[in-house]
Amino acid sequence: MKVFKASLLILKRRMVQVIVYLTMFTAMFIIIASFYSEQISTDFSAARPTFTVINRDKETPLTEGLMEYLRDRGTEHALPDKKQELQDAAFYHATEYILIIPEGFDESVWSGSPLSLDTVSIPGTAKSYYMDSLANQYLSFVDAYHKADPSLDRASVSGMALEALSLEASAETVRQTNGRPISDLYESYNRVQSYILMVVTLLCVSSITMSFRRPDLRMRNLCAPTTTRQKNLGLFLYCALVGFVVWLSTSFLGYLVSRPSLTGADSRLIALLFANSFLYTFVALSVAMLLNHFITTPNTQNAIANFLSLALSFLGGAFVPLEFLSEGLRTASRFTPVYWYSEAVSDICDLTLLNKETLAPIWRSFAMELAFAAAILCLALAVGRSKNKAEKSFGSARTEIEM
Amino acid sequence: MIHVKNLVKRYGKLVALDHFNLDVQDGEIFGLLGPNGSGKTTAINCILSLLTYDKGEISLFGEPMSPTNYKSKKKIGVVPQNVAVFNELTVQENIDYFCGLYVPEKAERKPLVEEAIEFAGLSDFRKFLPKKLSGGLLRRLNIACGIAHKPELIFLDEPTVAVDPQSRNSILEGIRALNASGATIIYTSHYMEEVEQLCSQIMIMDKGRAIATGTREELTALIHTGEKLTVEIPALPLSVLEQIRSLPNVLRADYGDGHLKADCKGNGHPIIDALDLLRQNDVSFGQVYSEPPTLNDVFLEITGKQLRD
Repeated sequence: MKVFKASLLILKRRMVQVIVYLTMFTAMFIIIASFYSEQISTDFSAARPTFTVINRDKETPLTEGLMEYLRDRGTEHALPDKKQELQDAAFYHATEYILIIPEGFDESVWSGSPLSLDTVSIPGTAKSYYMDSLANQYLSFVDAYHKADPSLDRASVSGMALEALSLEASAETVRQTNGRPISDLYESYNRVQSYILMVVTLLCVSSITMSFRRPDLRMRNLCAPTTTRQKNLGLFLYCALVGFVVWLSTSFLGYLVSRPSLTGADSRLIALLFANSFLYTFVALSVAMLLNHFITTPNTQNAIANFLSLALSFLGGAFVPLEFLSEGLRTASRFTPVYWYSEAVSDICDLTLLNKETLAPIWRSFAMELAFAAAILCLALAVGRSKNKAEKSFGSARTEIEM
Repeated sequence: MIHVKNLVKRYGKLVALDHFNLDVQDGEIFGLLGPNGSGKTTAINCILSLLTYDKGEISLFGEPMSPTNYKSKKKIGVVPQNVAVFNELTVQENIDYFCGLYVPEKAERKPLVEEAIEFAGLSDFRKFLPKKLSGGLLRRLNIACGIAHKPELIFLDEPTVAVDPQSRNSILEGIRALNASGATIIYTSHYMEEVEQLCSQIMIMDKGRAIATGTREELTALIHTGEKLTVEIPALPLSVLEQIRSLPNVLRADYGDGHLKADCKGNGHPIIDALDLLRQNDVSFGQVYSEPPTLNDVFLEITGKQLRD
């Protein structure tokens, strides 16, 4: 237990570094949280864009029907058919969508070769796409009814199209999980937690092993009548304690900050997210074990811990959604444990029903995380073994004694 | 207590220890003297089972030494050449940690740690981190960490390297005190004066071999060079210098910077003859010094080079 106690003492002396990291992340997260302070809403209300229709054709059932349909779903802003005024209105966003019905449009529709409608919209806005689709929808229905029965008069066709378009089917999202879904804020925190877990665990573990791996101290420890098993047990206990404390503190920190947005959320989903980060702690610990063999100074410690944690988290989709990455990076990310961690976070947050089928991908991600942890740990042991055999240890002497 | 027979250790083509033999008895302060790279540290590392070796036998306390011979390890204290302490632990915590590897019981360990702190003169610095200590205090901490558990056998590997004279004297006194309390000590150094002052048995090493072993007197008796005579003379005619050179027990004599220096043969004492000769030739002289041969002379005569080359 001497090794364990000494490790805790050493960590205590290096605690400032750990506190700086945790404070930094807490501050970052509180800033992010302030942007999410409003409660999330699950209610739906349709947007009502402002639109203008310039009818250069005569007033017919077709054009009147089109305007009526658009008025039902938007707010009309009447404007004279003057180029300058139309341009000003579009520029100053007085209207978001201008539809110009060309002369002869009505006849062209009934003759089967419709003229195209001119539109002016604010580029890239969803509302203009929405209004476009409404206009196209109305004209498609008119066309469909006319082709289905060419004997129908034009007013009837227009009326039937409007009637058909006014039909609504009620839809309801069925949630079998209790309460509200997991908030975006807490989901984001869970993704970023992979980075915090990795970097803090790496720092805490390497701070100790860096000291114990110093050749002079190793020599002194090897001279003592303490078995390798006792020494390793001390280090193992230390790593286990550090991993647990880092996981617990980061998990509860995230939960506390996100708590207002989690009111009414299903506690089983939160428990699954806790389990996910707990399993990822094993990955962080095994990565720390592997990197210990390459971390020899505080400078390399900070550089390696930050670079690797950032790279892994970025590649695994912790900061940027994977959809924004290139195909190559997306493929590569599947070979990182963070990918499976992020997948599990997404799957858990999307859960509306808890059963064997919906939980299966989550269990698979959990299994992948554990598999990564085991594989990296094996690699760490192999690297340790080979380094112990080849290392220049005591002055110019080579040691074959294994820790 | 220590028995090493025909120990051979190679690093590739380099032979670090070449059929090295060593026998150390209880209660000795045994000095391993040799220039840097002569194999002192390698020999100690092999004896402590920190290194494997190609050939030979090592036994400590009558038992073969191995990395898992914890019974023997419990009785050994090691003070390595480099200061091997945790930079993050205080003086007291460091001593307590290393003592704790040998003495797990806290109640039993506490007085030992206190005693080691007192012994090393670190009472005023017990809460200090190593980076706040001077070089001499660091060396003392290094020693305290190695001896706190009261070992029967202590290996001190160049404990006074880069230490000021005051701290060096303090360390040497401490080592004598440890020996007086019953500990057997293996002391390596390339400072011959220290070894001469401290050690009851001395082994001179070069190129991985033991070239001579014995007490200081036994070693100096091995060589032809005897005492060294130095006489202050303002002016010495060449003819008188030639006469001194021809005295029966003088190996060589030179004059320079107002000093006549003469190396004498092993058991010869030509000082009276030399002074008579100066009087007969009306050569006035001042102070006269006579020094016995040193271990450096032994090393020089056997290997043809200085210990500190």
